[in-house]
Amino acid sequence: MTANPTESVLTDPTTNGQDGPLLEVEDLFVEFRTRDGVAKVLNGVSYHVDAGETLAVLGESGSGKSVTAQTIMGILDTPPAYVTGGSIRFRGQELLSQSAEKRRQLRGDGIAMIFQDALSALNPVFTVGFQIEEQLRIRKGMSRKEARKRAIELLDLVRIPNAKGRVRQYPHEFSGGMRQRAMIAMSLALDPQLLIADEPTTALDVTVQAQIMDLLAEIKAERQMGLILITHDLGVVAETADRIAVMYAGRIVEHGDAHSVYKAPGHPYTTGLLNSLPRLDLKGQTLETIKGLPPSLLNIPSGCPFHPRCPKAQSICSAEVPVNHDLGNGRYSKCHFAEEVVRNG
Amino acid sequence: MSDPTMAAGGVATEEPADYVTGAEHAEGTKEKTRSLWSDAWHDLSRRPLFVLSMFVIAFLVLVAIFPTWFADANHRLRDLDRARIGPNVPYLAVCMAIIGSAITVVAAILATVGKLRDGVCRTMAPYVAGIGGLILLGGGLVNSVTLYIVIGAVVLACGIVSGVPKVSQMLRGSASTWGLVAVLAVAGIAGLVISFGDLSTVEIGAAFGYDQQGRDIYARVVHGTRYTLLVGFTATLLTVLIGSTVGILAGYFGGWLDNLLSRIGEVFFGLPFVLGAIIILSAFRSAGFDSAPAIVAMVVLSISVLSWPVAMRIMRSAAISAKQQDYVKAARALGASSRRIIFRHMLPNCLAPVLVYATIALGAFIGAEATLSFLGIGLRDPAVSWGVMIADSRNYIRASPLLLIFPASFLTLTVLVFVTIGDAVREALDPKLR
Repeated sequence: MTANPTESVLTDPTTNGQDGPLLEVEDLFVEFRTRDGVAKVLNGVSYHVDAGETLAVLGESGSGKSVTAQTIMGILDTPPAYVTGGSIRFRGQELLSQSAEKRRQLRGDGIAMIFQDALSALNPVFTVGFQIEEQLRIRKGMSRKEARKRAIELLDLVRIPNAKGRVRQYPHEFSGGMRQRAMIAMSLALDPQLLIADEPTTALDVTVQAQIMDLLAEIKAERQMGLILITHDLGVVAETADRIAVMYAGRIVEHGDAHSVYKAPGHPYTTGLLNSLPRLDLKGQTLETIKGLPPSLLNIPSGCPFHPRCPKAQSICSAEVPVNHDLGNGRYSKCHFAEEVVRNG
Repeated sequence: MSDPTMAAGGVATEEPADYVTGAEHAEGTKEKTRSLWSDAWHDLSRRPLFVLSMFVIAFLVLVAIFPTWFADANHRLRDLDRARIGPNVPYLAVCMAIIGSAITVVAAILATVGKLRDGVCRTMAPYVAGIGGLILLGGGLVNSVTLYIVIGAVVLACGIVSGVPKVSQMLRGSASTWGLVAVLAVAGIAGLVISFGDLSTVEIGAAFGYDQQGRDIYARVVHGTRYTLLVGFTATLLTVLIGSTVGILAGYFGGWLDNLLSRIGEVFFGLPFVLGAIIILSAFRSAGFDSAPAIVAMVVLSISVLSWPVAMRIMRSAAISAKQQDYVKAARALGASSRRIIFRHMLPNCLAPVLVYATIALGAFIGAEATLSFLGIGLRDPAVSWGVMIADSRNYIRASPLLLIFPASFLTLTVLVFVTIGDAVREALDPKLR
């Protein structure tokens, strides 16, 4: 599933003048070598993001969404995690073969990340301002005063009221939504070209969620930044994503533009996910769920990993690993009956 | 925020932030920010025992730096003619009365301030009055001076009455607290006047008497403070420095480095303290370290070498838990180097437990120095410490127990004060105890 020229959105000329996607992940394999055995966490993940585009990565807990992101950032702990195959290219440069020092230089500057729980992702002993200024001073060589000024600008940008006073406060003095905004300001400080948001709104209540998502969308559009949005919240995805990649057991099982995936899912798992959303027009009925549990990564089922839970499973599903079925228009599904699923739901 | 050009990306700053609740808005700019450390300090400065202990330590440090301010007798002068002459009891009594009265006056001032402005002064006044009363009472009892005993008892009673929560609550806001303050003030000033008057009637000097070699015990106690504290502070500093450096490296990097450093630590941890110190010190004793600084350095080194694994374990476990926090991951995700993550981001978060250990260890190390000196392998002449004095007096414990009692009581007091501080710091920094 490499880049498909038909689906590439406007390539921003300011990124680097190169053609091709901003970030390209290809056939990525990661395993965790634990005491209980080898957990195959990523089994050939491929996706790409262009500048100015939002890719939503969907999936249940443990499907490998965050591990993919952390592999891209290069912040996985080894041991237990080992990258065993694949490639990650950022602006055409291979990251996995780069030296640790070179990759470190790229973090923050090229790719930045927003964490799920902003309270634990902000250092409790430093003021919010200090944490933003620190990067500016070290990486950009700014003076204390300049950095303070820029930090206030950034807090203003993420709509923190009274930014001038707030820079001097500690994370625990911020509310949950403001912490997440401060976290976003922190990751934007070095003007990254790609931002990975790892469940940025999970810890927040619904109204604040919407504000944070709007903010991210706005900043993304303004800076022509690539955005990878990792989430299990389908509502969030519908509003903001250009494209969707659905992950299951360390694989991308379905990929396509947001609109058509929502309209006619190409994989029974995606159908299940969408059906399990509460809907106003089906008020009073029992909510549909996907039966069973996600597979243990120590022991992934043979064939299609989803077959033990799949309502459409047949004998071929437990025998053969499905390959990508091209559904046209850049859509792919790893289901033996993809075409049928799209047609009949 | 008034400068509109500062709003990057065309976001209007003056635009009413519709996302923000009223409560968030209401917090003004002037509100003081509070970090973990300022919170802890806020908490500590309201504990009377902590403040009191800090004052005692400040005083001890002053004595250690300027011993001649407090004792003008030569602590090295030996005169066998006066060997083991007992304390100059009348002078001792007067001195205790003066000190006790002065402390009582301080208590009266504290009570007045505490009455007018709520704060630590109010909670401290009863303690200070109690101490003043006890010293006055003691001064009276050693020389059977009825006047001192009476004043001391009155002051002590004031301290106890105002210190008992039920009674002090009954008294609060009523005229009787002013009565207590007045009693304290009168007692203190009367004590000062009487004892200064008595000063001219007694022979001055040698309050604690002379030791077996005819040296002034009081002067020796004062001069011994320096080495006692020096050993305590430097041994703690060195222990924490070695221990936390090794611990944070082991905790952060993990893997084989952690294994290696932990095993090395366990080797030192496994050595019994006294046995290990005896071996180290007796080995170097024959190497001819005879000047006072060299002797102190040897004792400090042997204590630190045998104690750093404790600090290391504490730091290592704190580092391991800090390393798994998202903010360390976030720092890595923003491109911070390992060195910066360790020293800038993890260290301040790991410091609290080590600091608690350090304050408690300080007391323990002062005791350890005394132990080693008592065994004859610690400090020795020309370095004088309380431990050395206790060691010197061991053969005369039954004949003249005062040789032992004076240095031992100062040692006990100092260790107690440090342990109290350690305890208070632990409670202030460990939220689980609240």
